[in-house]
Amino acid sequence: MGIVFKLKTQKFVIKNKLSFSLRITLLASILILSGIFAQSVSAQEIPPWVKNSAGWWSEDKIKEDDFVKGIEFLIQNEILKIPQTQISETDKSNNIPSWVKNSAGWWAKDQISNSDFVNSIQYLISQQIITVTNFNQEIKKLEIQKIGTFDISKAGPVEGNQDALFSIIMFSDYQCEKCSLWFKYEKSLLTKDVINSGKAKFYHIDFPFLGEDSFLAAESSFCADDQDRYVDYQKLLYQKQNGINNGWADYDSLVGYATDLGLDIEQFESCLLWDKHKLQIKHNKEVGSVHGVVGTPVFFIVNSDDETKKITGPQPSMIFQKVIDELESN
Amino acid sequence: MNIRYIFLAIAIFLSLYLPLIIVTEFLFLDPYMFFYVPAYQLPNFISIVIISALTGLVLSMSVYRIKFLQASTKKLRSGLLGSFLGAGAGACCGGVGIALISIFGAVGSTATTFLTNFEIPIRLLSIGILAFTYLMIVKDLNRECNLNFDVKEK
Repeated sequence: MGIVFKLKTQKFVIKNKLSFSLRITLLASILILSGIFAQSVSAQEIPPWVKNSAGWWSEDKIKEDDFVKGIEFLIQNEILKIPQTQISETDKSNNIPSWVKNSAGWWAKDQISNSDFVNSIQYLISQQIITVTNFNQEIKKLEIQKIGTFDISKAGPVEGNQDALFSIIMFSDYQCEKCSLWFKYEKSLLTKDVINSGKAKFYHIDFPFLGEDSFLAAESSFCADDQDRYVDYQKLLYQKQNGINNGWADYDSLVGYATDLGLDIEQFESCLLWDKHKLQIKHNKEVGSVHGVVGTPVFFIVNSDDETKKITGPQPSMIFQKVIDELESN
Repeated sequence: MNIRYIFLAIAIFLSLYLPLIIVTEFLFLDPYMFFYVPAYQLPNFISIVIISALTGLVLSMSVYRIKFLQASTKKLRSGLLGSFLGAGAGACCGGVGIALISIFGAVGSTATTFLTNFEIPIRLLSIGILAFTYLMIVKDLNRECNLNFDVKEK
């Protein structure tokens, strides 16, 4: 018996070692103790949807996987801190013990507090009553990857030669008409002249500032990325761009585009509904703000010495070429 | 021909045209000063030229009417309305868009959204207003100048 948390970047296994009756006793004790010892988790840190999902799961209204997503969210955001232990492939299992369901139900009904629930799981893990194994296979994704001063660890997939001397970083909003036009007409030229030649690699970072739909569109692109269709979905979004907050990028439309591309709709909708990539998008926007991005599109060209040049607006490929030549000659 | 009013018209044209081509990103300042009108943006660019030219004409003629013929400022106001409408349309994603949103909050955001979603109709409307104002001013000037001429003759 155990829990497997499958994240894109992490995989955790929780192994249960004790008998059912002892678990219940321990859980009750821990719930009391955790209230005394650990007050580090504030109620505001846990989004209401996590609690709702716990309640629904305890009533068998949603699947276990959906509840796990809530726990994943808590882990990803370090609300729930998982101590790392040694890798043990034999510990892997896909089932959550039933007593966890009981506590989730109590938590959802406010019979125990937020911090009690989170801390109880943390305590169980820290005491190795349940064992967490972190066998991260994509650890590189978790590390902060920087190009110059830009944190690109949460950017879209890189395009072009990974070893290229120059990096082009684009900050964009899917609802921005100029971004869409640039992508439709200028990007192919840039790809042909600069990216395919191996001179530069290209990163797309979301800077959603034109409203709710911008944020949702950015999230949906990463939901498509979960199914390895980021580039196709992004291309489709830029093709469909048709104004600001007028419905072309609302939930139904975004799901419709995913359907058109033949994505797994259940997985895509679940990703979008649970805001799986919300923090990733927020992080990316923050990266832009830190670098003085106020509108879109904005590009930064960074060379191997971290020398950076900014290109503001939907400029043609020849300007990128000229900037690269200038950086090369320096 | 009054050369001062031709200069005034040119000055008004440039003072509208230059900011507009920067805001609508036809003239880039960063990293190089660079003027670029892609084929797919040609209608937009032409509309900016027309709006700027009509604004130059309408405002300089309105000033002439007000200064020499003590006419009302009504037509100047309609000319300004046309100019503002035309200038605002399409100022979406660049610096102006975000400035509107950050300064005016939700109202600015709504304005940006409106101005962007209805860019072409707004531009056409502003050209319509400016063209109509121009024709009215020409008509008025002809009438008023004739009247004054008649008065002097008597």
